[in-house]
Order: sequence, then C-alpha cells, then structure tokens
Amino acid sequence: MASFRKRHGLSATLAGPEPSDPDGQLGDTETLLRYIPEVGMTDDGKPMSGMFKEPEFSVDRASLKPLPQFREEHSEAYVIEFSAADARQIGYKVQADPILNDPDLPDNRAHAKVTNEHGPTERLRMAKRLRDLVKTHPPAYVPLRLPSPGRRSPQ
Amino acid sequence: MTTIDPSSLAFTELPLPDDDPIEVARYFENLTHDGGTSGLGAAISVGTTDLPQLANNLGALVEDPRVRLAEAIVKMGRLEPDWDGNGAPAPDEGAIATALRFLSLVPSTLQVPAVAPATDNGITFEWDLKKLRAVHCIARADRIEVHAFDAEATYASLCLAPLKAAAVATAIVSEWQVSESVTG
Repeated sequence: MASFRKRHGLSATLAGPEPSDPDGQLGDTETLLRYIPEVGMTDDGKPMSGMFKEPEFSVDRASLKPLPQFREEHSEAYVIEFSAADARQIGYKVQADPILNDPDLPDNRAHAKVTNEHGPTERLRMAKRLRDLVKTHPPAYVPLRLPSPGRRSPQ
Repeated sequence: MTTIDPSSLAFTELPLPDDDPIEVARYFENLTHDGGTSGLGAAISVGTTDLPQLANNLGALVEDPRVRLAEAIVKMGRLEPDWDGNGAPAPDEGAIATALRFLSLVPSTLQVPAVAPATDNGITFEWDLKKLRAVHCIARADRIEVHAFDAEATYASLCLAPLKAAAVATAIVSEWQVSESVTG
C-alpha cells in the first residue's frame, strides 16, 4: 500500500484534512467518480462490493473533472458515480486530495480520497451499501473482441 | 425485519473430514448429492498445481455454472499489478488455487456467486441476497475468510480451510435463500 500512497500523494494517516488541500472542504453535494475494470463488475451491472473494501480509495470530483472528461480518460472501464453525502451517510470520510507537483503523477486537482477506519467485516458491509447505490456508466469505448473458441463437448 | 438466529450458524461444529483433497471430494459428493460434483471432486483430487490443467478439468463439465467462474478465476491470475487503478496487487497463484478449490466445493445448485480479484492479493466470492444480506468469501493462499452480514449485524467472520469455508458459506447462503422463499 506504500506505493499506492506515494502514487496518489496520500498522507500517512487517515484522519484530518490535507494541509495541501487548496480547494477547501469537499461538500456533500459533490459527485464522486471512480472507474472500475470489467473484472470488478457483476452480471447485474454493478461493481463488486470488494472494489470498495480497502481502508481508502481514490475518486475524482465531478465538479473539477466532469463525467465526459473522466470517461474519456478511462474509456475502456466502467465508471461509477455517487455523492459525497451518500458516502458520508454510510460512514465513509471524503476529503479533497489534489495531486500537485508529484514527481510520479500528473497533476490532478480533482483527486479526492474516500477513507474508512473500520475493521474488515464492517468495511465489507459498508462496501455493499455503497455498491448498491452507485450509478454505473458502461465503458465509453468497447474494444472489438474475437469470439473465443468453442469449448469441446465431453466425449 | 426477519433475522437469523446467530446460534444456528455454528456450522464449524459440523463433523468435517480433514482437509485432504480425496476425502474432501468423497465427503462433498455425499453431502450434496450433486451429480455435477463428482467430476469436480476428481479434478481437485488429483492435487495438481497446474492451473490451466485444473481449469481444463473443470471446463470438461460444460453443464456446471461454476465452469465460467473457474475460467474467469484462472484469467485473474494474469492480471498486472494496479489492475484496478488504485494500487491493487495482482492475485497470487496460491490464492487462485485456493479459490478454484473453494469453488469446486460449493454445490452447483447454490446461487452462483459474483467473483472478482480482491484488491489485496486474493479472490473474492460474493453472494448478494435480499434484505441487504451478503456472504463474502475471500480466498487467500492459505485460507478463506468468510463474512456473513446484513445491514444491521454480522453473523459470521471466520478464517477457515477451503472445505470448512465452503460448508459454512453453503449453509448460510442456503438458509438465507430458504428464509427469502418463506418470507417473500
């Protein structure tokens, strides 16, 4: 997880506002965007709960990076959206976490982090509630795939 | 809201055999009376660590809904680190093998779970049921984590060997499905 923190410029602790947050408080009306690879989706078109079970994960703020731009950047993935209010209602903390002047990452003023200080099972329960309410957008671009060869029938 | 009696979920007390693959296969055939299980039992009883071969063995059972999941799990072993864009490591081979074994032990008649790589090396099986109930099993190289909960309480949070994990998950999902059919 250390590399994740470094890549996303996250602080070592989960509590407290980021001192480098130039955008101030992230309001409840903010729409949050995240992309989910196809492997993390279920047949009902929702993300797996497991996609949200980590103590923290990254999102982008739609007010600073609108949905069309976000989908363009992640055109082969599903995009999910939920409000900061919904996440907070479940028990997550949502904080602005802009990436600026990072040696490894491009600037991203829209970056925010969703954190959760609970234990593993409680995190899973919260993750299920979140996955149930997110709105899902299919990939903007679906690569052409050749049909897989048919499976042989048992002799 | 109908809730389940947690005391009824003491499935770890079931008289299970040791976690020996052949015994597991025999036990599970007897447990489920599931005709599709025998081939899967044979697949795991060979004790192979050759994942493509194991997938082929599983794939021979074209009628079994677990076949598609088994193939997907093997493919998850080819994921690159950061596959989720959030820093997740790729599932390790041990977790893949455990997941395939666990899958082979879950009866094909049970509701088909959603399966995905976990964001921390494992493979996740999710049964989402009505009334916000869910059973999540996370396969690791050396164990299965079983979590059963609804919106209000946790009923099981255990680390078990694949056989016991499959028995516990099967029992909980089955009982909750029966409860759903009774209460509507």
